[in-house]
Amino acid sequence: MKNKMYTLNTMLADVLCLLLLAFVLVRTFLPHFIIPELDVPNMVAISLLALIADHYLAPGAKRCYICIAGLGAITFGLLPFAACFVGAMDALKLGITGGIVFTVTTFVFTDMAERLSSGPAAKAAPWLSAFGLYLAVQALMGMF
Amino acid sequence: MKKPILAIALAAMILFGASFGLNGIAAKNAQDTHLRLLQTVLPDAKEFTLEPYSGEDANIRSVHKSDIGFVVEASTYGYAGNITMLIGVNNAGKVTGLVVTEAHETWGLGSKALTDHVFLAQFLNKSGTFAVATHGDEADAFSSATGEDTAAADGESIEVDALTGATVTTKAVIRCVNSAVAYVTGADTSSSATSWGG
Repeated sequence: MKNKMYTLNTMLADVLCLLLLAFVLVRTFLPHFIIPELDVPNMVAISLLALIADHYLAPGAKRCYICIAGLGAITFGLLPFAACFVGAMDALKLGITGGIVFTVTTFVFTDMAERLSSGPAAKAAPWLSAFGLYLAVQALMGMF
Repeated sequence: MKKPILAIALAAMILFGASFGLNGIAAKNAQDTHLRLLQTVLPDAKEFTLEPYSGEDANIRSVHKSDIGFVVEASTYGYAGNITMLIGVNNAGKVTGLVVTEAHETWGLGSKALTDHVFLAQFLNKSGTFAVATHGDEADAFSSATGEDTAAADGESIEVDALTGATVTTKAVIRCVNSAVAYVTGADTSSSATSWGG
């Protein structure tokens, strides 16, 4: 079970790496294409993709929220910086924001998915939780 | 604990390698695309030179001069962050083309400013100050309630129909176009272009 504890952070690194790699290619070969910003709703979307993958790959894994926050911050800060999308100061801000967003998203998602994971809807629980959470974040962001 | 750290380090190395390796191609492609965009918004112009802008209009980022007019890069705040545009204005002060190069507006609403040809075409071949159009009683109510200039309130403005559900985005586009036209016609008295045609 302990091995599975860090699957979530590995998934986050994989998902973000694949997305940024795609953006590096887009920036190179389609420079007129407007690349989306790494803002809070997009951070939540990336976190949710990692959480869905984690739900199937490491079901019932224990959460270490300190590790999730720390490694999440490193992932969201380091990878966009390595892909040359942001400078050092922006990477620091992204890291702090990303760490917080990832931790909160993980906490809420885990709670929702665990409650939904019973009966015939169990298999769809992570997708339903992710969809509901993403809509909620979009609605909340529209208020600010 | 080692596994996620290794994954992050490996991802960072892959991204750095890809970014560093493709840097030269990216810079060349970006330059080519920029030139193609300049020629799109100011058709028939062959060469462009970057003009220093010393005016006080905070919306204007840069100015590219050609023999038949200017392409002004303008940027202003929209609904979600800044909107950056390239606006072609010929020496007669008429808008010849415009394109949004950077925007993060709401999907399906403000994002239409990038692709809505009917909306963007309202600016073409016109010169002057643009404003959001309001109609009939709406115009009076809007003007008195908000105190904002509208086409109906100001007879000299050129009416532009707003994008549905994206008035803030429309106003941002209008601010960019007004800045560009003012630069070329000399209405922006703080700019280095003080007479028609710069």
